[in-house]
This record gives sequence, structure tokens and C-alpha cells, in this order.
Amino acid sequence: MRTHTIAIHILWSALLLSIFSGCYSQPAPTRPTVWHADDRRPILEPQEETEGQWALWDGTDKMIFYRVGQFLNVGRSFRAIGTWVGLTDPLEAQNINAFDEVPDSTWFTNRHHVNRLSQDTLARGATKEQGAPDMTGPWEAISGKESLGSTPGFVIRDRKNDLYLLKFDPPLHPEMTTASEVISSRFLHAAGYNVPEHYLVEVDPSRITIGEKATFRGRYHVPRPLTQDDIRAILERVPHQPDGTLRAMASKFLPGVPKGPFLYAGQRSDDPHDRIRHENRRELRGFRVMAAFLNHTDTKAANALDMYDPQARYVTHYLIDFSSTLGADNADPQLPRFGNEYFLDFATIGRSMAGAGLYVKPWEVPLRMEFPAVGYFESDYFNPERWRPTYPNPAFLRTTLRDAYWGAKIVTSFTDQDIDTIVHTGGFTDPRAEQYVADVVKARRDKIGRHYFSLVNPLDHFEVKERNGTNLVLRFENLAVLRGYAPNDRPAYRYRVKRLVKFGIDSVILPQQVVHQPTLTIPHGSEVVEPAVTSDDVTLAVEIQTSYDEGKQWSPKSIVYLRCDPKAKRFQLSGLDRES
Amino acid sequence: MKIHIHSAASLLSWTLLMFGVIHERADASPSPNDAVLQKAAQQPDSTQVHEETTPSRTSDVPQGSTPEDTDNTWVNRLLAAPEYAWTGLTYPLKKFAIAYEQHDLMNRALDLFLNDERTGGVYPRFAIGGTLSSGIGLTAFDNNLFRSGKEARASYLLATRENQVGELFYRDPSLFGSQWTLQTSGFWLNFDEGHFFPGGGRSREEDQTNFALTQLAWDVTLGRRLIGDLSAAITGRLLIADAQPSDRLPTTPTFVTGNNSSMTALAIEPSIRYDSRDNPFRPTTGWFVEGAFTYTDQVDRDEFRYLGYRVEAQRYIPVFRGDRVLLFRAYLAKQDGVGGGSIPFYELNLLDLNNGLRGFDRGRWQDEGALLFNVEWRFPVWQDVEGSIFLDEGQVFNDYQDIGLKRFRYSAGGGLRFVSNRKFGFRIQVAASEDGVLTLIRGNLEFTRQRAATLGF
Repeated sequence: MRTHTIAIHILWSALLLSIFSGCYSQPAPTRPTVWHADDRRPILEPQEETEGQWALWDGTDKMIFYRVGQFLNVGRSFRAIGTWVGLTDPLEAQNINAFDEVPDSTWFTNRHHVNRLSQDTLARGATKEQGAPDMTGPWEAISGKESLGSTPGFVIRDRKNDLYLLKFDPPLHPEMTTASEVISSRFLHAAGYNVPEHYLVEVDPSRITIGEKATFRGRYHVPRPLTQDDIRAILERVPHQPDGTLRAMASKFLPGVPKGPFLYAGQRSDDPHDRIRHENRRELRGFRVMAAFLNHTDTKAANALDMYDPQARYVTHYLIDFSSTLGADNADPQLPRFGNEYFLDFATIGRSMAGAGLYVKPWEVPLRMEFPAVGYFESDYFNPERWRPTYPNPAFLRTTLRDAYWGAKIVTSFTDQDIDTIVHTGGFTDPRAEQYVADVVKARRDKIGRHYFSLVNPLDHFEVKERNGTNLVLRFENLAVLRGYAPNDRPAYRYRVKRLVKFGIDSVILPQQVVHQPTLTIPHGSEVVEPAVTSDDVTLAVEIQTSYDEGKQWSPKSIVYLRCDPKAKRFQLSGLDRES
Repeated sequence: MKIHIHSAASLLSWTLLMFGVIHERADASPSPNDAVLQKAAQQPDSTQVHEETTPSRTSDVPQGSTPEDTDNTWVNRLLAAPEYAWTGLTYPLKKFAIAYEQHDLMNRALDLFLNDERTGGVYPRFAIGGTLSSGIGLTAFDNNLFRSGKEARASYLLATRENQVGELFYRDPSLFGSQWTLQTSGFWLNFDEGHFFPGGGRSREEDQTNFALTQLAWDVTLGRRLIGDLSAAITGRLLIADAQPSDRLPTTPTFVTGNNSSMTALAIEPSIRYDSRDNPFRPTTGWFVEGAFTYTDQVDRDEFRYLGYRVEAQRYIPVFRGDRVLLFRAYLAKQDGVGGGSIPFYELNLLDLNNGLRGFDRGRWQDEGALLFNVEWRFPVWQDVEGSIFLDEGQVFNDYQDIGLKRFRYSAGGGLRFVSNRKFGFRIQVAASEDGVLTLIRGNLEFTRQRAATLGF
């Protein structure tokens, strides 16, 4: 009997440990107020990661074995149950700062959604003035393989000694793949991700020469010398323009030493800066929304790359290969089911079997391909929550509403003009195709904005001002109103103020108030609020909810923390939390 | 009970420990200092701006330490132990998958078995179900013989020394460049696990008897398209068979016609066919109608001489873009002895799991006549995998007067079909009937003599 009792105690303990340990997301005041991660200090050169580059294993693992493993992870499973029954919140991203934002790092740089980029900068993306391949000298082909993904292409060296990966379009869909690569790379760069420089170029086949040591990975992927026949075979499959030139996308090789893909789960053991498990990084979780926006279905590990800078001696993390974005799936148009279900999607298969064919999936519609240069890209059936990459991405599986809201903020920061500018860089010859892509991108952006701004209180850009030391004025912007996704443009805001007490009871110091302007008055300035102990700071929590129907329904809370340093004697913003 | 109380106490103690006094509800009693704050809250706003205090994003100096992953604790790692064990278990698979991709093992394997164009080669076969209960073997094929679209195939399947089946097949879609097609196939069977249920439509499951059969059937068919989807063919057949009681008990009685005897016979079968299906391997719409007469005459004795005819109609109705297909099938076959001849029992019309009545064991229903209706609903599940739900009803009979509504036997079930637009198919089906539940697993090379038209199934 005693043994049983002990066993049951252990079981309960395991259950509770798993539910509660580490699953409380740190409240904002305890998170660092850091805007720049300190991850550029020199480190020893890490080993090359080799596992993620094999798409077959990566896909099989993520579709089957990883999912089973996650289920077997007692902590994660019990936490999932705890979340489901409302005992706890989902585990939030671990690299966010006190303001629920991502610090700049070797992974991500806050760009357009923080400081609007000019139209020129948006159009330029990651490219540089002298970065394009030299168009005057010969291009020396140095390597190739039977298929790069399934997009034909090879690697060249130009007269500047720069290396480029040349990728071409499929014969039935001229412009489709190259345009998708160029457009998506610019969106992702503006969003803040590290991407290679992508250039649209006209290739004169006569300029291509074979390098002395050029290799070709042919049958069974065995390297052999590259020949003119190999180049000819690749170019034969590429649509030619009337003047004999070929349209290509030149992706400049990234600076540094390649260290293989970064995985979307776990961390590098040999990079001391890599302290957050990748599936817990906000920029990778939030990437799900960006990927949905661009229909970037191929977010496998092999489409990420770590580069080690041998001079500065740190690792930078890049996203690469956007040939399966927008309407393209490498050398084919996207299938309608991609973006809506995984390649092997047990949930969809189960629904199909249980429904015995009577369940008709919304995307089972006749393939509507408006333009061959665009492929299959649509917004009618697009649902940001339902959107799926080709196979599960561990970071995406952990995306919480707060992560998604962060992603939605970035996506909705692109105005119509921004989108027109970036889509124009795709170089579509048919202006109707360009307009179509821009329209679909805008419609997808709007769906994302409407969806996530309705699930999370979309208040942002907080500012606090103190008047005479007695009153605080808290201003903010409602992104849903600002970006046109709110049901009406004069919502009501309900707020109350609590004073946080360490190791004690938080107290309400301002009962609930309702206003109709994004400006809250809090009569508790630094002169009024006294700390319990002189050396203590004072922290106020302002809980704000929004209603668009005169108070019938209120959004989840945004909680703004204001901290008064007793020495400085003034309040300042110290953090932000969002309920979801 | 005591254990449960202990458990609840344990849960409560943990809960209290975790929540403790760290966080309290917001509407708890105010602290002494709050009275001052409340009072201050009633004071009017001041309009004088003191200072803006929003933190700067642009400072290059980190204002605090870089966030740490609080999820990466020893407790969580401990709780993830089963996941780590699972990862260890899958490690060999990982290594294989990586080697598979790295060394292009698929193409190496295909090159081992198939030619460069993938139109011919040799591949191993495994079978469960069909004429034999199970077996392994080889198939050699060339679907583009002489680079002229001619097809040839040789297959062999072995279960035990007494249970073997082989097939040779050749098809010329344009005989000497004409509109005639030539198809010839040899079917050789040697097995000792044949089932025969004496009593025809009235037989019971426990009436099963066992026989051994050695058989060679060689067909030569000449056919041509008449007009549109209408075509005609004439088949000549050599049939050599020897049936004996099996060593397995109970054995088929020797008085059953054709048992414990051999036969060498010739047959001729004219047939006419209307086939408007969009794809013979994965039909989604159209009709398949076929009628055939068969005259069989024993050449070494006068014991067996019979006439047979069969009519089959299949209708494929596309539902929702053709992704879902409703299939109706009707099948009638009848044989009669002529000129005082009789029909060997193993040539009688048959309804069983291989012949349209999928919930019944091999050889379950056999008589001179067979009537069968099937309805099947096919729907997409994943990629080239279709689900199906079906209802079969059929009966065997001796004379048409025997046909009765109450004599129909039913089977119903469902399954999955792997289908492609090429000559490959695989299905797994579960069918239930009054005799029980049967599972069928098979590929498209059935090793079943096409006595009953099994196209589309």
C-alpha cells in the first residue's frame, strides 16, 4: 500500500512539475529590456551541421517521428493538456524582451515595421550597389547538379570573383520561379530576416564558360567534371527569350564559411550565443505568419543556412531559397493543397476517411491559374490559421497567438504602396500578372491582420508622459484601427491600474475606467506614489481592453507596466504583456 | 480510497506550493499605501508635461542581459526522457534515410531492377490473397518491347512446393501495323488448397471441401475497334486441367463432376465490348459493358462440353470534379452443358473474395449461374490513395428459376486503394459478410484467370 502511495505521489509530482515547470511565461517586468542581443562576440569556429540538409529525413522526421517524440515528451504533453483545460498558458517565446518584441540579433533585425523603409530600400532588399553579377565578362560555371531542388540551375563565378547560384524558370511557366524568389526575398528582408542578395539577370548562354575544376553531381549524386553538354542540358529546359537570352535569378553566395542549415528545433551545442532553443525563438515562431503571407511552403531546415564570419568570428543565420513561395513550387506551380495541409497530414487524412468523401476540403476547387507566370496563388481560400507549410516546422508548431500577433504586425506594416513596389521587382512582363500578385498579397495581408488583430488586443506604440509628477498620460495606437481592420474606428477602451507588490498582494489603485480615445490618464505620478521602502521602485500595471461594440464584448487584455525608479523619480515604460 | 485522499493532498500541496502567495487576485484587499494612491486618483489632471520616458530602441548598448531559455531546465529535460529514448530508437532510420538520399539509393535500386526508361525490368513480388493465400515471386516485364509499344510480362509466384502460379503475357496493340490487337496469355496453376462448397447457393460455410488442381490455360485473343468505343474480340483457349482430392481434410468428394479426373479442352469465346471509361486504370467516368459467349469442348474425351455466356456492365459516375466516383456494376454469367456434356466443378461460375463478393472466402459460391451487383463509393484520401466503401450482393444458381431475392448474399466493407494512372495498383480492403470478416491485400497483378470480368475492381 505504501509503495502505491509513493508511486501516486511521484505521478502527481511529475504531472505538476511538467505542467508548471518552465511553462509560466516570464511576466514582462522580469524580462530584460534589451533591444540588441549580445550575440556577436567572437566564438570558436563551430562544426558544420549536416543533418538538416537532407530533406527526406527532415520531412519524414517532422511529419512522423518528431510528432511522436513530442507526444512522448511528458512535460510537453502535460503542458499541452494543462493549456487545453485552462490551467496554464502556452509556453511563450523565450527571446522576447520586456516589450514583447524581438531584440536585434544575428537572427533578425527589426526593420520595416519599426522604422519604415523607403520605397527604394524596399525594392533593393538585401542587394547592394555593386553586388549584381558583372555583365561584361565571362561567367565561369563551377558546379552544377542534375536538379537544384527541382529548379534547373548551376553556380557561376563572375569577373569580380563573386559566386552566384543561377536559377531559371520552368519552360511552361516563364518568370514564375524567378519572380517568386526575388519578391519573397525582399519581403523577408524588409521584415527583418537575413536573406541572400537576389538579382534578376539576363543570361547570354555564350558568356558561360566551364571552369577548370568545375564539377557536376550527376547520376547517384556522384561528382564528375562539368561539361558543355551538362550546361546545354540545363539550358535546354529553360524558356528562351526572343533575343536568345535567358531570364535567371542570381543568388549571391553569402559571406563567410557555411556551417549548414540551422534546425528549427534545438540549438547548436558549439555556439555559445545559441542559448534559446530555436523552436522557442519568436522570430522563427512568428515566421509562420510571414510564411503564410508569402505562401512560403518550403520552410524545411535545408532552406536555412548558418554562416560563420572568420574575421568577426560569429555565426549569422540566414533564410535561403524562396523558389516555393507565392504561386511557385520550384519548377511547378503550387498545388492547391499545399499551404492548406501538410504533405502527409494525418488530420486531413483522418477527416477524409471519417467523412468518407462527403467532407469536401475548401481548397478542393478547380485549379484557377490566372497567369502561368504566377502559378497557383490565391487569397479566396487562404486562412492564416489553417495555413500549413509542406511539412511541420517545429517552430511553427509552437507559435502562440502572441507570436502570431507579432508576425501579423510585421505583415500588416506593408502598405499597398510597399507591396506594389516590392512586387514590381519581380519583373513580370505582363502588368496584369504583376497586378494580380500584388492584389493577392494585399488580400492575404488583410486576412492576416483581421484574424490576429481580433484575437489579441492590437494596441502598440505605447508612450507615457508624466505631468507635474502627479498624473501619467499613457498613449498608444490601435493597430486594427490604424491599419483598417477594426469593425469601427472609434472603439472603447476599458482600463484599470494595479500596483504590483513583491511577495504580496497586488492592489487595484484605479478602478475600471472607460474612454474612447487611445489616451489614458492615470493620476498616480511619481510624486504621488510612495514606495514601501525608500530604495524600492514602484511598478504599476495598466490593464487595457478594447471593445468595438460599445462594451458588449471586450478583447483580451494588454498589460502595460510602468516603473518608477525611486532615484530618478519618474515613471517610464518597463514592459508589455498581452493576453491571448 | 485512502490512496486517493493522499493523491488529492499531494496535488493540493503542489498546487499551493506552485501558486503560493506569490500572486494573488487583483481584487484582494488594498495595501496601506493604496489609500493614498486612491485619494490621488481623484485629483484633477495636470496639463504640464514633465518628461517623456519611452525607452529608446536605437541605443546600441544592450540595456540588459540577453534573454535566456527558461524552458530549457533540468526538469524539462528529465520529463523529455521518453522523447530522447524515442529519438534513439529512430536513429538507425535516420541514418538510413540520410544515406538513401545522399547516395540516391532509390535510383540505384530502380536501376538494379528496371531499365533506364523504366519501361522494363525484373522486380520481386509479394502477395497476400489472390488465387494463392500468399507467396513470393518475381515479375519480368517490358512495356515497350522492341520500342514499339508491345507489352510482355512473365510472373511467377511461389507459396509452397504444391502451391505455385505463373503467368506469361504478351500484347501487341497493333498487329503488323493493323488495327487488330493481339493478346496472348498463359496461366499455369498448381495448388492443393482449392476450396469447393458442394450445394451451390445453399451451401454452408462448414461444407467446405479441399481439392488440388493443376491447370494450364492458354488464351489467344484477336481484337479490334469497331467504331468509337465499341470493340470486338475473339479468343481461342487451350485448357488442360487435373483435379484431385487434396491432402487437406475434408477433401472434395470424388463424385463431384470433374474431381479425380483430368481434362484437355479447347474453347472459343467471341466477345464484344463498349468501353468509354476515361482511364482504364483509374476510371472516373464512363461505361464498361462486355458480353461474351464461350464454347468449351473436351478433346481427349467426351465428358465435358459446355456453353457459357456472361454480361457485365460497369458505370462510373463522377461526383464533385471526378474526385469522388460512384460505381455501379452488374454481372450475369451462366453455363450449360451441351450435347450431353457436363461442366467440371472448377470451371463453374464463382462468386467469392476474388470474384466480386468480397466478404466470402475463396470458392465460397459456385454454380452454373452467377448474378452479382456491386455499388462502390470511391473518394480521395491522400495523394494517390483513395478510400472506398462498397456493398456487394450476389447469388449463384443452377437454373434461372432458382434466382430469388432471399437468396442474395451480401457483403459490405471499405478500404484503401493506391491507384495511379499507370499500370500499378494496390488495395487493402476489409469486407464483412454472414461468414465473417475478411481482409484483402493485393496488387494489380492478380494471378486470377479472367473468368469473371474483374476490371475496375
